[in-house]
Amino acid sequence: MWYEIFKFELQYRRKRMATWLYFFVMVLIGLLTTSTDVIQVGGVSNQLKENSPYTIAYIMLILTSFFGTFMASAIMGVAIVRDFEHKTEGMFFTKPISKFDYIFGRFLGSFVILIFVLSGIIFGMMLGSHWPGITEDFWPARDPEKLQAFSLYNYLHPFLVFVIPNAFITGALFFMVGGLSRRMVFIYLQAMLFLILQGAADVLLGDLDKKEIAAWVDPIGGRAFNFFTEYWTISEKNTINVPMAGAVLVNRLIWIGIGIIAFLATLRFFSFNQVINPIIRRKPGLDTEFIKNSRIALPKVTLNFGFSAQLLELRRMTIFYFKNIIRDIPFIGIVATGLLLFIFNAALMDSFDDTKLIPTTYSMINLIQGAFGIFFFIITIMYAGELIWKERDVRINLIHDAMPVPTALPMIAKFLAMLVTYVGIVLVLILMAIITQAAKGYFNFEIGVYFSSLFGDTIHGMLLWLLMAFFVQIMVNNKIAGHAVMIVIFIAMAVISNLGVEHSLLLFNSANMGSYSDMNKYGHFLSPFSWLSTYWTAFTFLLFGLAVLFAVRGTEELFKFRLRIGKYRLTL
Amino acid sequence: MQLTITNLNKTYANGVQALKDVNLTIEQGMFGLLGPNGAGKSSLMRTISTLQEPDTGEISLGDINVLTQKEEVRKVLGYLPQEFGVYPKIDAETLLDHLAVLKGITNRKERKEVVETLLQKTNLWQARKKNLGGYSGGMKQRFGIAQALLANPKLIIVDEPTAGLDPAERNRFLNLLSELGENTIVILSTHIVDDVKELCKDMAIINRGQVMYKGSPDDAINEIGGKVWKKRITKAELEDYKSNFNVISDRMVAGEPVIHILADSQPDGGFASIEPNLEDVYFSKILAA
Repeated sequence: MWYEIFKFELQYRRKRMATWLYFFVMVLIGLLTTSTDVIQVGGVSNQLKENSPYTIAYIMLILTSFFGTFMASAIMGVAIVRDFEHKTEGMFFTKPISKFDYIFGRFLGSFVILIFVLSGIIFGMMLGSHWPGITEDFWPARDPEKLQAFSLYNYLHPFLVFVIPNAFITGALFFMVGGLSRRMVFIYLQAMLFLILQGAADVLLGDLDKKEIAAWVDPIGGRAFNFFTEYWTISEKNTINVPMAGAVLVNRLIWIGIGIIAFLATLRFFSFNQVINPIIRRKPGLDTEFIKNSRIALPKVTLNFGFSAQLLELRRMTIFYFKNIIRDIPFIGIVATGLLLFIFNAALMDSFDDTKLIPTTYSMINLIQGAFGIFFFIITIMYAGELIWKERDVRINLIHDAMPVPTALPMIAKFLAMLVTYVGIVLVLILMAIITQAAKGYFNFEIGVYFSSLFGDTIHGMLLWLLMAFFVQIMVNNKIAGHAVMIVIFIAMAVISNLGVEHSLLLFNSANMGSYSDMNKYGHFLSPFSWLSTYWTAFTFLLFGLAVLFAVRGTEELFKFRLRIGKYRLTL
Repeated sequence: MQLTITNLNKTYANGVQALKDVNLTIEQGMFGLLGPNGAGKSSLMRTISTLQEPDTGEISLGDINVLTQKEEVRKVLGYLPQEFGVYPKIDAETLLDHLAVLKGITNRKERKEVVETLLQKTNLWQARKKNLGGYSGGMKQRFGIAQALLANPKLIIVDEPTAGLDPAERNRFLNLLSELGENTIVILSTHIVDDVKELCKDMAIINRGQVMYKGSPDDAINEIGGKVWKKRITKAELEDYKSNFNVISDRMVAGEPVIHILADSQPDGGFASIEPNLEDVYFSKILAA
């Protein structure tokens, strides 16, 4: 019976967009890491090859311990919680299946999917180092001096020794938390918590004299890897794969054992009861105050559809959507991760080599734009979709669409809600940057520079992407496809500029303020920036206008009718 | 004010013809729209509510062209869709207030008053601070009714408003509707004949996108007066009777089928003449399609 459930899990996940998205993300991460200098192992010398077994294992470990943990939570965590989310638990729990069949089938199915998703890193890394046509200008090719002959086994070995066991360990833990808590919230939070605890443990273990014990207690095996290879020569690092032996073996055995215990605990403590007694009992939200005046007539109200009413509606809707965004748990997760990354980077700012960096404002801005940039982009794409689909997702759209509100108004409110969100995040980032500066003993806070760079460049750029995303979501009229189109546009912009299309009037949001420097401020970048940003702002406003014209309002989704309704809107 | 629907046609992309040359004139007061599931009631109501486009045809509300002047219609419209969701993490009072703002009730004091009155009238007052995610089906339906009645609408379109309401709540709602006054157009769709019988002076029966009857319930009953006959038969005979007579309904009474047929004169001694009711009208019109 468990085999049937296992098979169902695979079928279900195969049809989920998320599965393919996660896989694609892993490929992309592997590709971007190995084809750029984001992570450098072994300094600038050419002796340790970029595709040596040691380097491959090291990079794979770093990437999967960060991104893999999130995916383990997303994939393994929901395996059971999903039934409670979709309210299908009653259907499954009343079937004549044993607890073991249900749990084991779901676990194994999700685990296979997780391994598949993580295997994307292998393809990405291989592609990054050995891009076909490596000497072409198409992709920033790696220096052949830094590479050695390709070997598939060098990618598979660390995947078997580290990535798969780690997937099992984290997966079993997250599966347990999801299954026993039955709450989606934990799925979003546990990966973050795991990484924070692991980071904290790492710092504590770093001071431990017994390095072998430290190597044992790291769940991800990074310390075991370092301990094992501590005294390796460069030629060993270039040729030998870290075997399942010594500290690595002990570490793996300990943690796989803990993973098994977590799985057994899930089996033991999971209950097929639909309702479990909550640990914290909440007071029922009932009001005892009761006014019985069903006899009185409905009061007459004055209706106002003028400009002042629209201002009020705009304000109320902006606040409404803003609260919707910031109370969304994935949003909290994304922002927290971004801030965490910023803190890590800020703390590690000058620990890479012996040179002390002065935490000037421009270096802090670079740090913010570097560490948080991708998160701004994720938030923009994701919440453009969420906001455009908000009413339809909660299925209040027919009520909402019949309200006497101009079609543009909710969309402007959604735009403003995102603007407020960006401003909030940037203010927090600036505050954290200033605290970092102060902590490092640098007190020349250039608030104006922070504001002009982050508001004028970062936020402004994000707003352009946001309007583009609104337009795409409305035209494509499918949330997931809209996300995909946005990612394609984003990547296409990078690719066509690599292909030699460099004209700023063709590359979306090409306005670049340039780096602020203490020597010549924004230099000669500022004037083209303002012209280009005016150009692109006008362009996105045009897109927004089209989006308002063709926005779906009601049940008509065929373009024929949206065109007709658009004409009515124009003649108003 | 009068709602006029002229030659309305709609075929969906999947080939289903939802509306076939619909012509209706609806006066102020309660108007019942009767029909089985999938008859086209919701399609018609969504089209009047500015949410759907017909392929051809016209709708006007007084001087307003409903199809092109959607904004003007929405200012006087109260609409309850057949199916809808709510923001689960917001309480009823907050969401109703938010919707009241969107309806154009900008005066804070008036808004508070109308929101509170509607919450009391729909019997949600005690649960007004509770998140809508925790509402039962009936409570959610009542919330939908409350939002449709905000802002003294002149045109109220409620699509199966009594679905999911218990008998007490249904009565409360029908009373509320009847209070709304004479100068409002209320269009109420339902497949429950009693809803129409109790409330409406005027009605239409539609089936497969076509208007089968339009007029007052009383006229409809008079039309088939003396033509409805009842007989108690056995289960085995049912198929025979169905092929030989114009059987408009069969229902079990104490385990045996009782059939109603439509005929100009008494078919045989076993049939007894009965006073027709609206249900007989309904079935005779539906089957005539």
